[in-house]
Amino acid sequence: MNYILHILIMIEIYIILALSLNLLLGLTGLFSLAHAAFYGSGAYICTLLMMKLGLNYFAALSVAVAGTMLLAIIVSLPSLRLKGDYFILATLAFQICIFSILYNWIPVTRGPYGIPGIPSPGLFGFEISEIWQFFIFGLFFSVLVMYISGKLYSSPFGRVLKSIRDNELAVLAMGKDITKFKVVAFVIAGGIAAIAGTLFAVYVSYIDPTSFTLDESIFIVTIIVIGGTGNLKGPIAGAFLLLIIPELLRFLRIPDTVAPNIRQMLYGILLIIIIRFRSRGMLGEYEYE
Amino acid sequence: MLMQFIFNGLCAGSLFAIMALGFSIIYSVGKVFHFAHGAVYTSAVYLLFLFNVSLKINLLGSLLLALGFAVFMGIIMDYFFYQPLSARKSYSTAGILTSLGIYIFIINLIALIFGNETKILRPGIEKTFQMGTVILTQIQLFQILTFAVFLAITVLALKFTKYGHSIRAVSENEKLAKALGFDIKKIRYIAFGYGSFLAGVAACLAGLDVGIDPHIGLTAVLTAAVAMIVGGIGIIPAAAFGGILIGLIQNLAVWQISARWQSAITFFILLIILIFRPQGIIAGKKRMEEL
Repeated sequence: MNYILHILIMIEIYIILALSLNLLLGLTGLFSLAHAAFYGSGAYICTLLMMKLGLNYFAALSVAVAGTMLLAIIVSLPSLRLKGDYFILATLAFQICIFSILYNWIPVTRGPYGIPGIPSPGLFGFEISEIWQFFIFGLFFSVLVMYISGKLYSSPFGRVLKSIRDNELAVLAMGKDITKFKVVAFVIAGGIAAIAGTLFAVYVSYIDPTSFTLDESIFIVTIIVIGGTGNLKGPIAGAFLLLIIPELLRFLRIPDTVAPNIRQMLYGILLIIIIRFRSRGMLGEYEYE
Repeated sequence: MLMQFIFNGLCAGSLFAIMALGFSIIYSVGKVFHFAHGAVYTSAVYLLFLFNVSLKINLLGSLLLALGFAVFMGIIMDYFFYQPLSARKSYSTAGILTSLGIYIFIINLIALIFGNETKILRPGIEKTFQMGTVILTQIQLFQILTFAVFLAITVLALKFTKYGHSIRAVSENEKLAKALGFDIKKIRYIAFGYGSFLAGVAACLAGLDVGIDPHIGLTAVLTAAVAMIVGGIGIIPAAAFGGILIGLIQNLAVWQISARWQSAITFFILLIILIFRPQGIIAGKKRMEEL
């Protein structure tokens, strides 16, 4: 039972990340490889505030979200002047710089040693420590993010983002300030990814920089590309599928030494096949150019 | 001390530059951000390990086999994966995602076969040369020489041979080249084949110098991409200049700051270039919006 709950909690966290990236890749057409950086920034800011200043989870969460939004502005401004491959490379550069800071700024982040013993979140004197409590806690946040995302996709703001994705020049000709819309999309996506980071930190109660690498960014991209982008159900389906695959491999009795490699190979094949034969993913609505 | 770091930078830069030349040729002709170039790199050096260390074939024979296989890989990647996308008029995002998929698959296949731990191709101590205050190993000298040879071959081939002209024509305007009767497919195969050959050369030279693990290809291909942009897109040899420059800056950074910040510095340079001079240091004729 605990095993199933653990998988479900991880799925909740990845649904939040997938919906957050969907706002960029699926809605606005911005292919960002910096998502693990936002995820990590949320996790680290929240952890440091809880452990060094003794803030409670919700105060730390708010600051982590705000701080990551600020980071998202910094990432978005230079990136947004660029197009296509240049844009992707700029986000990749930010991902590697931020990972490098987490890994090398040892006095603050403890670098490769990681931060153990992150306290459980408290809520009006009630402490969330059992695994089923975490499940409900995560469920609350993932449903909240789903609700906000759903509202956002059908709002006028969301429709402008979709039209930027489909025809940027037309939106420009309508007199919309494209840069402003893209920056706001980036900021919201960064804030949502930070929520996932704080959940991950308090749930696992240990963080180190290896959870927030470029590979992690690529994994989040893989989730929404395979699941599909541009709507709610695609990213959610992707998160379920890609987190359940490793567990299925376990039931096939593939030894633990080779399982991670076989899992990654499956992801790679899925990515190639999806792009080639069904480029809007399993349940998505946007086809990549 | 300074001279030593400059020489180390030149050696490291030579490898980046060879890799970047290949990446740049493929990018100009194939119009695809070829992440899987890193997988070709890793495959070449692991094949060299397989032939030379495991199967005990002599070094020259193993090198030729590994390089031949790299060329083959480049061409089949184009044939099976990129050409169908190109025929569908899918570019940037679909290409990069496919390329990521290929990269992830091959790297994990290699890790599955050979294991994740670091392997050494040539144990033992390298012969060294002393030039004034600078100490160089045999393989380092060989790296610089190989780079000089391949830079010369590439530049001369692009300038004076028929295929070189075709590559430049396709990279400047593919539609026009097609209308003028160029065989686009053949030129793509040449570009992917030669580019992957260069990746193999860089990989084998690196593998003979330091240890190898399945993940070395990612750093190699990302550095090559940075070198291409820093140098300037549109002029293929500019990528070599970018590679040398990054090698020098990285090694001076190791000297002045710390080796730990090496990758951050590489990408910081990229950000600075992207913000202030997106067309690259040796500016191409095209502006970035036209690419």
